[in-house]
Amino acid sequence: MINGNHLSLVLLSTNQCNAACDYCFEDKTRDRLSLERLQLIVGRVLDHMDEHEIGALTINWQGGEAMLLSPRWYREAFVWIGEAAEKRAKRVEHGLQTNMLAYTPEWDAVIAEMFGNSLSTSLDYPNLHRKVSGRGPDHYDALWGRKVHMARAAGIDVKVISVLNQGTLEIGAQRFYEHLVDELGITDFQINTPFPGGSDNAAKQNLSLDVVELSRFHCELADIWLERGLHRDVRIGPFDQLLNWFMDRDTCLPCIWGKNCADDLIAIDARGNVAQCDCWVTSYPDHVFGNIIECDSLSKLLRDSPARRQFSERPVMLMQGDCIDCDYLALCHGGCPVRTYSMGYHLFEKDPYCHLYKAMFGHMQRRATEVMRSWSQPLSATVGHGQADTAGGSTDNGGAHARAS
Amino acid sequence: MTSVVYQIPHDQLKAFRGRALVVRSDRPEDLVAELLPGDLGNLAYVKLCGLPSGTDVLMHWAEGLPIELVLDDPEQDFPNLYRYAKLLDNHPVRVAIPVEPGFEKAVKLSSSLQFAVRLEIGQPDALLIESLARLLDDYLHKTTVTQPIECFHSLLLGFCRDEPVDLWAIQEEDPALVRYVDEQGTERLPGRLSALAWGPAPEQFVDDWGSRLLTEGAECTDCPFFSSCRGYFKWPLRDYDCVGMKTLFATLRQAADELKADIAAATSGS
Repeated sequence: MINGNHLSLVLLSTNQCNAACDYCFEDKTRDRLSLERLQLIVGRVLDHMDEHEIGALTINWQGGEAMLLSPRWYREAFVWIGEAAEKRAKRVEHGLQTNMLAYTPEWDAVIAEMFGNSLSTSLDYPNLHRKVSGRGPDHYDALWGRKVHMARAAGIDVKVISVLNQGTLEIGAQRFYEHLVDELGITDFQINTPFPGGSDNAAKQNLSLDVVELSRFHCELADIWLERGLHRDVRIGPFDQLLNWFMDRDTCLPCIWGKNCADDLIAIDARGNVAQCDCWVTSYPDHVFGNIIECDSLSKLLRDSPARRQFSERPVMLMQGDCIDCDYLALCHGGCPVRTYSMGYHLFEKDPYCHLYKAMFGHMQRRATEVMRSWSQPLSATVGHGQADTAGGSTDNGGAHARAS
Repeated sequence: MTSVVYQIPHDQLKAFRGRALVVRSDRPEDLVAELLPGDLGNLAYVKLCGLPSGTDVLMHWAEGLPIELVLDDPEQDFPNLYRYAKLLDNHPVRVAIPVEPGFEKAVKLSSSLQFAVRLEIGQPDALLIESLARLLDDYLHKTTVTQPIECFHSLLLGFCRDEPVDLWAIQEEDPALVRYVDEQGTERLPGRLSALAWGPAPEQFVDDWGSRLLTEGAECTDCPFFSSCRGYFKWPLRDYDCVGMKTLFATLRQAADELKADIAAATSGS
């Protein structure tokens, strides 16, 4: 059950999109959330939070394309959600994932107020698949570039997610970094691996990448970032978080490597369908947990859903395979369900990008050790970070529990 | 003076209320129903036996109170630890794992989920010693192990600080510190001693046992780690060969020495 201190909700304000990207994992519909339906959904989410004493909610707004609803709609949603949450002593934060094609300066006020003047968008390089209907990738890139330029000029912090493709591997890590950081001025981006989610098409059949080449690309990009970006406050996920992890700093690893994403995250689409995340909610009807509009209790829906039980059980089932023997189990826990499933494997198998993850973890572990050595921190180079705080620990046999907190 | 901690079943709470306690149950809802707010100050931790379901009720109950999960059959049960990972949001969680075939996987997953571990070490045979040696190496050197593994952790800290450590205490088996109360409410000696008849001075057990071993000229006589172990590994089979355990202790002491040298170097260089 989702019952901790925090709930992450991916909320699709619309299932509609103004782009027609070949590789999109969503199956689009024309559904949009009305404010009335939003209030019903959020009310039931808050009921669930009450029932399980969850104090904090993060709503990650997506689509379809989230900006197809108006800034005014978001402003009203923001006010209503804020008031409803305050009545129940809940904290709510909002994030926005958008392709930015519909961005205009009219958005600036609500982006500042609701989203902390920050948003996340997507761009691949080279762009093979992102386009609007009837136009090519170049048109998309030019339009996107103009919108990002406008948003930045308005002071908005623009983060980027970039999905790798065969063209990216061919141009190499150096060129990729130069384009995003030096030419586009992007200083906070995350690279994602592709997967053929949702209904099949020709583009999705050609998404798969050679995992050895992919691993090499990741390691080279990490090295370029460490050399050129780290000290200029450029952040590239997941390298920045892996570096933190291996340096025993506060870390926020991507959801693909969570202990169990079913414990922390749900997605709800504009029809009220509830599923594990945005990668499932419109694309895989057999894996939908239920419909929050049709069920008067989200807690009951989550508790009774056989589909959700499969997600909950996945890490448990993976322990029958070789993940338990992996040096990096603590970081990965078998990887991402949708990458596994969409690439033709059973949900109870490990992520097909296992080889890449291991290569990346090993590389970042070595590089983190080098960084720490360069800072003359012999303790960390000598023993694991769990044992490096002997000066402040306790020798009594309650010490273990004290440290575990 | 350290007060004795009583490890009691939840239905003996009424008889032992007011003393320092570890309360055990295989029904989380019983703990929530029976432990009163006034009891919490006397609780060292609660022990969940048999990896029960229904731990949702513990999530926001007595936040900060340590919980110990007991793995009776580590080889079979270890994957189920995933079901308890969320408890870490609001509780320190430790997993008690008997050192028996298959225990390594249980420790590996416990550490990977950020649970602390308490090994119920007993008198391990040569194969289990090999497993313990691998585990100790992971504990000392792998950055993926971030939580304490007892008894390694307290021994390492003791060696590092040149402070006395007592394995019986670490393992919560010293009758001077811990008593076990059975389901009928009968007070017994803790851990592996629980089947032993109740003597006139149970708090003297470890001292008496250690003295007896030295008097009888046991292997302990010239053991460099006797002050930490006090004959722990000679119970219950007195002729248990400690050579493997001594190797593990030596590894811990060497690591502690290296760590002290590192600390000294870092301090002098700063």
